[in-house]
Amino acid sequence: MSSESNSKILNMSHLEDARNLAEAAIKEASDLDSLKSVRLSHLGDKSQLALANRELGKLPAADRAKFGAVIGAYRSELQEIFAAKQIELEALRDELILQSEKEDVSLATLAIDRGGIHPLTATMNRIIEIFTAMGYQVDEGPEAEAEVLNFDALNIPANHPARSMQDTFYLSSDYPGVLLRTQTSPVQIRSLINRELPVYVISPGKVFRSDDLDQTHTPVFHQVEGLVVDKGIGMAELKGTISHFAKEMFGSDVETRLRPSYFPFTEPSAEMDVFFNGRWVEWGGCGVVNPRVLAAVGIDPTVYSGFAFGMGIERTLMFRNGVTDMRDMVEGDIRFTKMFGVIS
Amino acid sequence: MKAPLTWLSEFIKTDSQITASLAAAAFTQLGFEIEDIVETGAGLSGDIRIGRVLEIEELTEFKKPIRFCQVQVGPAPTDINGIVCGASNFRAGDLVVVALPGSVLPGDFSISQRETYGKISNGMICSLRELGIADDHSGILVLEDDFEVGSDAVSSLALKDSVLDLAVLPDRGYALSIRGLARELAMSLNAEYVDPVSRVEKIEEAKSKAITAQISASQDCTALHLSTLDGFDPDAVTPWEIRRKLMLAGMRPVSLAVDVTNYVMLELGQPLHAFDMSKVKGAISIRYANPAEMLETLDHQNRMLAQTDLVVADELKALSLAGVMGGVDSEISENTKEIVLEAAHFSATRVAETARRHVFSSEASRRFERGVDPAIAIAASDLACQLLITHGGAQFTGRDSVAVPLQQTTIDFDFTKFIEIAGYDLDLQVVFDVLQNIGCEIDADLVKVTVPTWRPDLLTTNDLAEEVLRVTGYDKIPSKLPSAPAGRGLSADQRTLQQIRTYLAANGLSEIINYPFESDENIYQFGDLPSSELVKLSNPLSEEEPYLRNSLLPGLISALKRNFGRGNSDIAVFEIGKIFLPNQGKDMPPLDFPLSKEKLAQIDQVLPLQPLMVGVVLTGRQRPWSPIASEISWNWSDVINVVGSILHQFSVPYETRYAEAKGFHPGRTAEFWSDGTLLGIAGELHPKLQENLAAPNRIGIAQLNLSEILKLLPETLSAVPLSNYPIAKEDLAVVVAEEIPVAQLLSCITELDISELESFEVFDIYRGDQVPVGQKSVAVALRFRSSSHTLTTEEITEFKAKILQQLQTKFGAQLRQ
Repeated sequence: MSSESNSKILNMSHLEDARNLAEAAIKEASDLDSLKSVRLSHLGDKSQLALANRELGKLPAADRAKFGAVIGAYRSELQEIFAAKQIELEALRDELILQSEKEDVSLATLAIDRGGIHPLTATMNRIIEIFTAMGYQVDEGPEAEAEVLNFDALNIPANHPARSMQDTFYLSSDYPGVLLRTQTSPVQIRSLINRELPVYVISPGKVFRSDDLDQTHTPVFHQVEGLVVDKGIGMAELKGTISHFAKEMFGSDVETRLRPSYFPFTEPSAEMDVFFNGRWVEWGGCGVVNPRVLAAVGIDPTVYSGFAFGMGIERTLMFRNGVTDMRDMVEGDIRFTKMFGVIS
Repeated sequence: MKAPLTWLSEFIKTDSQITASLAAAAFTQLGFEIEDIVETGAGLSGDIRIGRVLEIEELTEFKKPIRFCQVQVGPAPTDINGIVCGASNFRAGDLVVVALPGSVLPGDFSISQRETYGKISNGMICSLRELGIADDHSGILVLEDDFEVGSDAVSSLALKDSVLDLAVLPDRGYALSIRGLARELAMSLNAEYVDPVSRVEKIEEAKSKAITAQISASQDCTALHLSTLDGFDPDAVTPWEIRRKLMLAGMRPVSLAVDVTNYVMLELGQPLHAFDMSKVKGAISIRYANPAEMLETLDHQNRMLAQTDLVVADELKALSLAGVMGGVDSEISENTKEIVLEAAHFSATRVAETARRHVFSSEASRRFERGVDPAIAIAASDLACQLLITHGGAQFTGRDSVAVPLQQTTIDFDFTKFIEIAGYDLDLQVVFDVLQNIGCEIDADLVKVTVPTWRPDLLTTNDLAEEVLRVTGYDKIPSKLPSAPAGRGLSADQRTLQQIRTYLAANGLSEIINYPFESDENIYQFGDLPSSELVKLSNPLSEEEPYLRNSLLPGLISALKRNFGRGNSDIAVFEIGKIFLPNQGKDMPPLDFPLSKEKLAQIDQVLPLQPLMVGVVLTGRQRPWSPIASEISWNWSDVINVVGSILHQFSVPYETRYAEAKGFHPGRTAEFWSDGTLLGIAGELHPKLQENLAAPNRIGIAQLNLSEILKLLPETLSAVPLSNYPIAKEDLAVVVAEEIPVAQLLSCITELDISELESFEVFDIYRGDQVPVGQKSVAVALRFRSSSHTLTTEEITEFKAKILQQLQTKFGAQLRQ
């Protein structure tokens, strides 16, 4: 009885059938769950090959070795096939999970809301960057400033017509001789007093003139001024500096020109124009520092000379970035800043 | 300054035609901006003639008076046209301008024969406006008897001209005259210049003087010439050519005496004043006004004079504000037969101050302020007298003059400096030529340059250099880049400010820049300050906003309001700007130069304090809707977070405390402190203010003092080696009284300074059944790590015990079971 059943299980062709059935079952498995049941029925303790293996002891020694080798080989072959199938099905499972997790990624960007740096600040920062790269320092000063520094030290004595060129905000009688600076030039005086020569500075900041707000005027606006005091500085150095500056601001092909003008604190003085978008645009004023200004801060004008230049940032923004209404810059409308983001 | 080209050309000798565009280009290069070029008479064409009115028939049957005139329009006795005219300012015998049928007037107005008012009208008698010369349309143009009947009016009246409107810079007073401008133009065109002064005929001095001149304010008046004339015909007509020039230069002809003074002023640059001599009592002197002295000026304003105002006065009273404006009482009238003509030189600063005090700028004051040639008063007086004699039938009766001898400015000739200022090798000959052309004299040794009297602006080598450069052309100057010493880039403060801006922008906030002007009402939203605590303007733009902001918060609220008004209720903005706080209020130190560091320090002590602040306002949605990230609204904690994180990012140590501040929600507002210094405040806007704004959402608002924060920035951070020993994670939950702020528990742990405590954070706050009423459980996750070994259980237990102990001692905390 037992030898019959032995012979039935321990039969070469039966073993081969069992192996082939197992292989086919593994290969047919379509997912990890079915693969698991294939493993139980074809590779587990109750599989035909396992059962045959258990019967080996009943065989004569010579048969035992022969059948044992065959069963062992079949089982390890099937293990390999199974392992390969397992890897394949796991990859498939992972793939399906990833597929099922697919989203509309464009939706994510809907939730972005950007902030921004005010374009006036950004433009000033850009200018600062250009000049610090050339070795300049940045100086700032108070907005409520001494009249002496805003006018007298800049060669604008009391009753000078230049004082009536600009309408000035004066502080109340609690602060005699104090005004809201009408230009960033008083910072030049501070720089020349506080710094060692030579001086290469740029001063950005707010200035005030009592104009009513309209499309092209604002009582509070921004200027950037540059000042150099060194030995052997003249109009040529001024022209070179401005021309470099303009190219950085407006593009490497932009042209600049100087026209004679008048400022009490420079002599010779000039208006500077840039040729931008097909027309000459007035950009700012400049000139060789008036020797009286140097003398006012105790610098010997026979040894040192310098140049200064300045321009309005609102105006720069208007023609450089196409802002058509000054009110947009000053009314705190969030849409204006957002338009620019952090770009300068 | 409006300069007719024909007038300029009178003083320039050249064979070539000076066109308007040529002149404009020359002036532009020289530094005179061309504001406008007006071509007068440009629209005139066809037959426009001088005619004589022979007969006038008054037509009375119409609503307004109408005249039918017989006008002789040609040399032959038969050249008579009947012309209907609506004006009545002329008499038979007058010379007028007639536009004949077929002619065209400006504005494409064609004249033709037509029937009107029952008459055939053969042409039109023209007014100044119709001829395109001036705006005057009060009547037709009546000419003096110096023109040939039938001659071409356009050429004989010089109706076609080009008027250059030039912007004259404030230092170029000499250019407020035809004399000065013609000199510039001649120089630029390389043509010979004829000084109009050289053409003035000298008046023969009369033996007796009719009036005495005195100067008692010699500081501010260096010359006074009083010429007297009598027998003046008050009805004398101003010659057309003078009227034409005045009108083209933008002045209105008034009467011969007044027109002559204006004409001489325009041509030579010297303001003159004519008085009715019959109204003058005794000598005329230049003096300062008496206390409370009054003067009714020509604009019919009764002005209270200041004692620094300079006046021209007779023995009794002030006659005029010197160099600014005449007085009504001594004004030339239609009956004036005797004239006193004043030609004087007043100081620029005195005239400027008076003109400013009286808020009045006249043609005269504009010139004196910018500098009048002090040598020209006599010539101007001569020219005016000659014109009054020639055209007004007057006789010169005498002159009295008081004048200080002229001091001419000399400047050392420093060619090296010229080259330094120019930045390139100027030609010595060119420098010479320019200086001579503008009127300078250079001595033979090339040592001194003597400046002409009409150029008081030329005082230094720099001034002379500008002249040379502007005449030779700024475009000749080469471009050179100076080399600055090695730079140090931005200061730490400047760098930090840029980073803070970027940081806030990256967090979705937008920068705005508000005006610093504030009203009581706005300021009081956030404080009950007495106005003495505020810095005020003496001349604010608006009376409602006289204060300089003492805080950024009111401005932020106003900006919020504007944004709401424009339909935007989702706002996240920040502002970085200065505020203005009172200083001790010392007096400004006396002015003396040169300025020094000490002086600057004194000045700075007087200026209002101006700390730099950052303000933040957050309200509404933080971001737009998206199905993925749910929409979140800004709440009270976000604003505290945003400004707190600035401090955090820049490693500024701080603690928060409850704040009670006007304008803020009393239970949702924190103050930021660092070592006894208040750094700022952040929290929810008081709901009452939110209601006032009709804001749909709660509003977070904050302000930090950046000036204080910048002082607290660490200079250089030192790195701590990163330990790779294992981390020990422990949780600790304690029960404390509800009112104890959690941040205080945490800072209490920090204070223990356990070096092995790498980090810790709150991970749960529980209130409920398991803790007593009025208390809360705070759970803290602690992370310990040693830099030298793996921590033992005993060590960790000890640390925890130490922390618990500290919390128990300070806050009565109990370990949560």
